[in-house]
Amino acid sequence: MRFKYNLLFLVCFVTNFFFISSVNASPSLGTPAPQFKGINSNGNGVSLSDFQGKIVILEWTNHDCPYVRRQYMTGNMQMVQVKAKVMGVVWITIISSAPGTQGHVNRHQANKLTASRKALPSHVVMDPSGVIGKLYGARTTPHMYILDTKGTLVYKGAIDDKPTSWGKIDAGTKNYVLDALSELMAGNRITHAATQPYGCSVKYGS
Amino acid sequence: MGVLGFLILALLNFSSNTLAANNETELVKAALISEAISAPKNRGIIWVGLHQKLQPNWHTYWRYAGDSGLPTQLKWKKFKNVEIGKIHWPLPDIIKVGPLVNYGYENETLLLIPLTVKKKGPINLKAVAEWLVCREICIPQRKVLNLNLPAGNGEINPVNASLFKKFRRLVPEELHWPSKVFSIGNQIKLVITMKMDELKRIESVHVFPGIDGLIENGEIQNFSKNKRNIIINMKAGYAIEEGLKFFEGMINIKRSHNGSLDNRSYRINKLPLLK
Repeated sequence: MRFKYNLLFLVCFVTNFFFISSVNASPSLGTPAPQFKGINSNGNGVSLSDFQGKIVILEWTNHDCPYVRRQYMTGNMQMVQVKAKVMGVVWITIISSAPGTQGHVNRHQANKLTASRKALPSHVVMDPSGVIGKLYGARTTPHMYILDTKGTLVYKGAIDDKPTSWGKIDAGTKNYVLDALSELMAGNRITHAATQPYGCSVKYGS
Repeated sequence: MGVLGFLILALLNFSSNTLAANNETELVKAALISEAISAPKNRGIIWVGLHQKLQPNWHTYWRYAGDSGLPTQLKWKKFKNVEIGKIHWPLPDIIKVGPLVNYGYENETLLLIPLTVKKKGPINLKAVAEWLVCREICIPQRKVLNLNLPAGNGEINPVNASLFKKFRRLVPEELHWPSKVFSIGNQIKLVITMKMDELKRIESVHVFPGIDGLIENGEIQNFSKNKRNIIINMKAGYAIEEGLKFFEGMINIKRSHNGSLDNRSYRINKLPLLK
């Protein structure tokens, strides 16, 4: 009997391990977004459950990735953050770069980046182990997720429909995140709820 | 070159210096090359290609880059005597970056493009090539490329012949066997019907999805055979969940052939997903 329990434990441990080490467990739209706890750039604990009743945006980032740089150098990401803030949305920027890889920063550097880029995240969550990233199947920077007020995943994918790191954001660009936010606020169905994320790979250590 | 041309080049250079990190252009040596040494005398098709030679461990991307990355792009300047076809992509390498899977090219590739020549005379082509080159980090690069062919007989250029031959073999043919694809639960099942003697020689297969979210790129593909079919089971991706109704991509098949392995790829054009 005892052996059986040990075996069960081992199986759970092993399946859990595989689940965590795989990035493919991208959560489905319309289902509760995976819960997570993390430490933000001010050293405080952040839990997704803290934001019940609010729309939450998750943004995976790596400040040295050319696609992220374009978004911030053109002011596009900040523009989306301002609009989201006006709507009362909680914006969580997540850094899943492993130590020694591109985009890995300490808390001090993360706060400096926020200030220098005039970014408006509610929290910057440090995820050097990649646990949160893998939980969400985050694979590129940027990679965006929107959770509705009930904590249901309602959008996953790209920031916009122009997968490039070059030049300014032209007028014809469709910003999927802004579109989804306004549809969500209006109580409408989200037209493009799952899009192909583009950019650099998330720099998981393994 | 006029002042304007210089200014444009200076601007291009400026933007590549600011947006892409410094002068790492030599990570990828790129050129437009032609299989023919000259333009043909009559109408017809000749092949040109974007040749990329990469530094070790760096890669550029296939038409579907996989979990991250971006495919190489060519923006052509119109040239009235020829019609420029689409890129014919050779079989990519499967490149694992941590837990992510990418489809791309390491070391060297040749992206083949057919030119339909409509009028005789010299051919002068110009294209802006853009690609993302990655190792652990990614650098977007852009280069203006020219290809000039004098009027002539359209004979094969012996310098480039073997390169074109090598990469043309890696471009997929049409899938000519009866094939079906099923969407069952969270699985995608591809069934290809073949004759017994063909089936016997097949050693391994790998499916390359052509669209994001079709399958989970990092998951194992289970390959089996029965008396009539090869069967590949794959884990469905998010696009299936979102209601995608067809499968599109490529299958690479390795067969034993006179003691060696014959490696061929076949294009899977929009197969309806059956329940």
